[in-house]
Amino acid sequence: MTVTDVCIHPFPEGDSTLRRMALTAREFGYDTIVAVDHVESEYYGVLILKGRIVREGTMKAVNAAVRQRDGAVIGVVAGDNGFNRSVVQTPGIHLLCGLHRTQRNAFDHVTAKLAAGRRVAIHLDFSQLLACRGHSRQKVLIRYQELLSLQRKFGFSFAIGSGARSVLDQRTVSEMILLSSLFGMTREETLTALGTVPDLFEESSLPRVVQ
Amino acid sequence: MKPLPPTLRENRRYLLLRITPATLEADERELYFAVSDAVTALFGDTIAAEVHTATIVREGEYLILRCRRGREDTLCTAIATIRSVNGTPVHLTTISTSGTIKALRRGIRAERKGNSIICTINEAERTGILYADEKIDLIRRDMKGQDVVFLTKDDMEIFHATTTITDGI
Repeated sequence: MTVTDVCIHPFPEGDSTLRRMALTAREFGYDTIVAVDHVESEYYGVLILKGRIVREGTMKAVNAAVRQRDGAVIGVVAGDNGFNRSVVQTPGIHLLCGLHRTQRNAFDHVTAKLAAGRRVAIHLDFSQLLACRGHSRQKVLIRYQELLSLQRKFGFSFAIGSGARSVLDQRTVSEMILLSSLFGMTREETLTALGTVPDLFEESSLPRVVQ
Repeated sequence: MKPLPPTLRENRRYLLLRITPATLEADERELYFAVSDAVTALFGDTIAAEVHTATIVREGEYLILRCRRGREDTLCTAIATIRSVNGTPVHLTTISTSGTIKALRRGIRAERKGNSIICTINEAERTGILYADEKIDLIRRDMKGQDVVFLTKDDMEIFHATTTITDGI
């Protein structure tokens, strides 16, 4: 089973090189990492997937990212509800990121159903749990709890990532399980979320059986 | 004074942690405050009191902590949220948990030997440590504090960097 860290930010954005982060990821139990704005490669037996994050908040930028068709894992930073629905329905988008910064109604049951049908994963950035303190961290935890209850009902995927900019920010798989338990995620759910990435590249237009 | 009988004593668990980077300059007291702050920030004073954390000893890149039995996961979760000690970025990894310090010490490996090196990147000299597993931790001390850059020996070519092994930093 694939265990993926989605996403990491190696040098020059962070203070650690891609090779070093791949080496650390292997030691920490991962076999795949998604590196933002780095080419696809493999170091020390760890597959590195190219990641691209669209931060502009416009559908024009989202469509431009999809048109590049370079095999990258494309994530879009969430905005208001209308924008998120449009993003989820756009073929070629893999991740909806940064939902902890949005209003509660930005991701409702309709968007959740669409995300499940279109196989768009919701990105949970654990760096927010580490970097924030007090009220900010409480808000992130509440938001992730809300997303988890929607996920349990509608069955969309989660993609968990450390959001690391340094090897010191990377976390082991067991630490990820412990951190996800803070907002009620079980061990099995966390392991499923860590193995989400290969499913995102499967054809989503075909009909599938929903249990 | 008569010692407390074993049945009335608090049951404890001991945790073995690895400190990254190993060169972190912090004693048991400073590490205790970092762990204690993390537990309190994440779970509050009530749970922090139940966890009853204490630092036992630091041995090189390893740290042994103590907590109340049954609260190991709580402490491990809080430890995973620690990002710095005394303003220096750090990662504390929980390696194992045990009921005795003796059993825990079996998990301690021999200290990783590293060669002190001087690395030249873009004509700027940086001191660092080259480990046997080809990891390189560069250290630059400046006005802002300590800036560490992590790379591997394979990266040296990309950075057009050269290394010179020194006697010590």
